Parts: sequence; structure tokens; C-alpha cells
Amino acid sequence: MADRDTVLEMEGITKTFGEIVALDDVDLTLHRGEILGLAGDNGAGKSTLIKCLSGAYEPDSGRIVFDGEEVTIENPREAKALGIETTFQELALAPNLSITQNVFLGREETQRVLPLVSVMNKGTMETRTRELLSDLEIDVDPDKRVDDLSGGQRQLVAISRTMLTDPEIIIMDEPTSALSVEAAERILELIERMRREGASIILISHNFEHMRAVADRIQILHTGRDVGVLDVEEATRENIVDLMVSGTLESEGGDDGDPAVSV
Amino acid sequence: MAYDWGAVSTSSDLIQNLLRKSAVYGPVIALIGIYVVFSIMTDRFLTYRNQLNILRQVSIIGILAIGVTFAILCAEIDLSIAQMTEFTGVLIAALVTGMYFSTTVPVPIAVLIGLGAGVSLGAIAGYITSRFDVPSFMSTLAVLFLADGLGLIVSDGRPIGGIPDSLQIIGRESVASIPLIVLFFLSLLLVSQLILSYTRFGLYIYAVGGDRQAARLMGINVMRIRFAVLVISAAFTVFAAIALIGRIGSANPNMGSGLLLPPIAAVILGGTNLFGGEGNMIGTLVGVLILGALANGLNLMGVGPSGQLVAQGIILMIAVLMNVLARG
Repeated sequence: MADRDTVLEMEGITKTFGEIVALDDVDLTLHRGEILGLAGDNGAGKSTLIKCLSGAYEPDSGRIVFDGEEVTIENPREAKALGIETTFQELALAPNLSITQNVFLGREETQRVLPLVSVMNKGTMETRTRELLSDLEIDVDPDKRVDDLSGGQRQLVAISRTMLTDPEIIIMDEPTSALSVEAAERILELIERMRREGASIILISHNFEHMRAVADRIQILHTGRDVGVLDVEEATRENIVDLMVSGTLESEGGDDGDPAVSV
Repeated sequence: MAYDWGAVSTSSDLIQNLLRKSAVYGPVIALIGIYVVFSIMTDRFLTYRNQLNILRQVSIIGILAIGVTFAILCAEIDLSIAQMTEFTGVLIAALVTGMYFSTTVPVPIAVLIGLGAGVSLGAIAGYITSRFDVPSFMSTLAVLFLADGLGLIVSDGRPIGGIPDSLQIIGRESVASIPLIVLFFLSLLLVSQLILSYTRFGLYIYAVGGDRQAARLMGINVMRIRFAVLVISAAFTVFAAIALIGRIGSANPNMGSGLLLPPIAAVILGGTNLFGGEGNMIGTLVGVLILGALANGLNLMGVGPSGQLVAQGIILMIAVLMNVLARG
């Protein structure tokens, strides 16, 4: 299984919220340069799992090995410092700020004007954002405020933000939900492009077709547990749904992963 | 090839823009309106002397309003500013007049101690709010009582006179007929606006005030920003205290009465979003001037304090309504 180069390994991740066990001993392996789909019903723990990786949550137990080294990710800053960028389902954009400000939020370019006084390099950031948007063929004015954008435009801003630096891992939680068919296809193209540019990607989606179009493997979670990983060839709609709904494969097809008995 | 991502339709765009602009320009238009009316109604209003007079009258409220603007932009509030002004003021006065140590404390050192005390109390509120997510409404309310009590303890409940001249310079002296207190206020305002416009810290105040959760997910240290705005607000109460001591020539534990609500009202009058994330120091200047020009103009026309309060109440009511409407 570990024949390919592994960029990330999450082992035995458990996360509880009070009485609720959101994640129960979940493993996840991400190979370098692959797109890993993450599927599961609502409440299966997909978002919780990636939030443990992006620093939004801290797991109660479990190990995260990134580039061969065990790491702890206590907050989103640390995740970004490691090179893990995330497009959250809730997008995490500041509605009152401009596109440029959102793209650079948390990593503004500054220049020292006096000892101890650094100011933001607004011109540079605007130019960079303009380049980034035009490179991604996103036709919006970088000065525009985010709350003036449509849902699709916001989605794109959130995604383009992950491509500002050269991240090792990009996590995308439902990037195509609530988008038109055309807009969703465009996002899928962007995901392919991110991979070509060297990122390893974790993609959460409710849309099997979108996931199967780009993913190499699909991992399925069921009620907070890891119930199997399917290569995309064997990931038929039926197989995915079986695992999602019952936690087992009824037509014992895949031997990848270890389908567990549902709880 | 560029895709159409279902952009917001132009007409609703236009209305949204208009409303948002009204949040920015509304206060300016109101201020101009007030100036026009009073200039017509009384010829003593629009004189150089009277304008300096207004600026001097609003300076202390203005200094406090700057500090509160930092807090409100970050979706926080500071209710302790009046009592903090009293406490830090009497503390500095007590130190320089030798109430506590066998000798008097030099003015700069007393000011630093006062600043340290103010910042420490602000830090307590800031820590409790940022670390434990206690609304600043409550943590600064606690500091309000704390500072009130400490002010009475430090001053023994009595006015403190005999303030050395050097501590009264800012509140009392003028340069080229412009009161130093006005220059002090405007300098603080300018520096604060520069911080908001050009530093990462300033931007993060807007980001946290706009959407705290999003700011955290984008890697901003939200705790630090929330902590910092309450500390800054506390620091401005010390600046206000110094100006106030010079202005009245003494310090007393009740000198902050009437200094809590006008600064907050001025911030909102200036178009800063009640719920954080939008606004600036120029707006706060406009808000402070609206309050000041209104009181001054009515005064010149022979309307007493009660009538002035009624007028301020009406203007504030309109302002908060606009404030909320402008943001949909």
C-alpha cells in the first residue's frame, strides 16, 4: 500500500464533542500528487476530519505524519505554515474585506518604513491578486468587496486563495456545492491544475460524478469511522453508496482498506 | 475565456452600493447640514474662534472615541472608559502631588505608572474576553466597577489639587492660538487612522470584526487582536485623563461623569458599523463634530442643556437606524 510516496498520514484520529463521537480511530493516507476523495453521509465526520488537519480542530488522539515527520497542528496558522491550505465548506471569507484583502489575509506583504513600523504593500498585493485571478480566468475586480460577490465568485475567491503560495496539500470541502454545472466543471479543472502544479489534494464532495471525475482514490467514512478506500475504477456509485449507508460493501468487491461492520 | 459566475444583478448592486455609501457619506452630509443651519441661524457659529472652541470642547470625548472605535471595529465594546479616565487621572494626580510617597513622583514617571495601571486593567478585560470568550460588554462592565472603586480609594474620594503645571500643559496651553488639547486629539486620530489603513494589525481588526470565525480559519490570531483592542481602548483613557486634568486644573474621582456614552454615540454617529468590521477614524471625527457642533450651535441660539440632549437623542436615533439599514 505504501509503495507510492506518501505525503500525509493520519493515524487513529479520534475527536469527540461532549458525548458525541465525531471521529473514531480514523486513518487517512494521502499520496504525493494524488487527489483523494472523501465521501460519507452527513455527519459521517468528513469535515471534522479535515478540520483536524487544517488546524480548526485539535484531535483528542491520533498521529499526523506530514512529509515523514510527526506534527501537531494546533491552529490554522500552523497548518498554513506547514503548507496545508484549505477551502472550507463555509468558505471562511471576511465579507467586509476586498478580494485582495481576503486572498492575502494572514500573509500580507509588508515593508518596513521606520524601525519597528511595517506597512502593508497594498500595490504589490493588488497586482498579485489581479495576476492570480486572470491566471485562473476569474473575471472579477480584486477591489470588490466579498459580500458583493455571488456564491460562485466567493467559491472561486476561496479557492484561488489556496493557490497564492505553493502548498503541498490542498483540502477542499464541498467546493462544487451550490454551483451551476458550468461553474462546477471549471472548479474541477482548477483542481486538476492544482495537482499538475504539484499539490496533493483531499476533496470532499456530495457529488459522486464530480469526485469520480478527478479523484484517484475515494475514502468513505460512516458514522465517524473509516469504512474503506476504493480505487476510482472500482468506486461505482453502488459501492460508494453501500459504504456510505451501511458501512460495508454488499458485493464483496474491493479488498482495499478494511470494510468494517456498521455500528 | 472568462465565465459569468452569476454576478449579482446590477440594480441590486446599485441599491447596495447606495446604501453602503450612505453609511459613509450620511454622517458627512449630516455634519454639513448642521453647519449650514447654524451658520444661517446665528452669525456667531461659523467663526474661527468658535470653531476652535468646538474642537476644544470635543477633544476629550474625541480621544475616548478613538479608543472605542478600535473596540467597536473589532465587534467589541468598552464600557469602562469613563471610570478608567477617573481612576488613571486621580492615580497620576496622586503620584505627582505626593499623596502616596514621601516625595512627589516626577510627571513623566507618574504618567507611565498611570498608563501601566490603565493598560493592566484593559489587559484583564481583554484577557477574560479573548481567552474565555466572555463578551466585552461584561468584562469591561466589571472593569467599570473596579476602576470606579480604585479611583475612590486612590483619591480618598476627594478632589486632588495642586497639580504641577507640566502635567497641565496639554489641557491648558495653546500653540499659535490653537489649543494643544486639539492638536493632541487630532494627532492621536491621525496615528490611529494610519494604523487602521496601513498595518496588518489594522486590517486584522476589520477581519475579526467582520467575521471572527473566518479570521481564525485564515490563520489570524483572533485572541491577540481582541485582547489588543481592549488594551488600546484602555490606553486612550489615560490620554483622555491627562488632557482632562489640564483642562479642569485638578483631578477628582467623579470627573468622568458624562464621558461614557458620548464617545460611543460619536463612533456610531460617524458611521462605524454597530456590529464591527466597518468604519474608520475619520468617521469618528465627523461623529464627534456632529455632537459638538450641535451642542455648540444650540447653545449659541439660547437652547439649554436639556434641549441639546433632546436634539442629540433625535440625531442618534436617526444615525443608528441608518447604521443598521445601510448594512441590510
